[in-house]
Amino acid sequence: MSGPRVTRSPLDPAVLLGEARRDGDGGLTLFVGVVRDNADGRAVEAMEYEAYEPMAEKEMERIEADLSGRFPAVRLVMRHRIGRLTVGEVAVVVAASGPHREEAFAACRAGIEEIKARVPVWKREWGPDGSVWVDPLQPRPNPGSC
Amino acid sequence: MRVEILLFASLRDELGGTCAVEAPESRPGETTVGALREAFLASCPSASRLGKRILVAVNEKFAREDDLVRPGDTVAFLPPVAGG
Repeated sequence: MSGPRVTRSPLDPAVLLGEARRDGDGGLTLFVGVVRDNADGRAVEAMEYEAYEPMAEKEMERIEADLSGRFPAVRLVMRHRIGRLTVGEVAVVVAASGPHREEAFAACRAGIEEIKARVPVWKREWGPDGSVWVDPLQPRPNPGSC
Repeated sequence: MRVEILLFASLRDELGGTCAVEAPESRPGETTVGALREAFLASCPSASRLGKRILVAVNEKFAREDDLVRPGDTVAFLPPVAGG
């Protein structure tokens, strides 16, 4: 696999899909997480991703190892970008290649769920009124509504 | 036992990139993640909003409350992760 799993460089989903693909596989699935322009009713201009980099890299490797146990027939390629990303930029990619669609979809879904649950990455949401760290358990209501 | 703790994201914004905590020793030269968490929360009350939700990593791996911390270990306190 080429390059670090946690990177400041832009991610190219097509390239990563190509890295996952094998001639013997018939199913390729791809999850691409991008920065969106809204969160809980607020306007979002950018997301600033931060990682505990050496641990995040290792945790991505551990997820791959765990999932290769659960989905032995699947090849997974996973990347997370960090730094300041604007709307539409790719933050995370999970590509899965398997003999058939069932394993490829399941492994791809498991990959993104494990990343969100385990990898030490945080994001600060930037909008017109400044910035705030995103707490996954505490979505804040739109200040203008009640 | 004095332990230097790495901090990230909102915890780093509030308290700086590192924070030294004096934790009670369970045996000479060792303490537990749980004891370290209690000592940290006592010395940094602003972190208590996260309390038990703070994740603790020892040597770049998630640790449980009864895991041991010894001199030379790399300890990090992490806010709930929010990647993706």
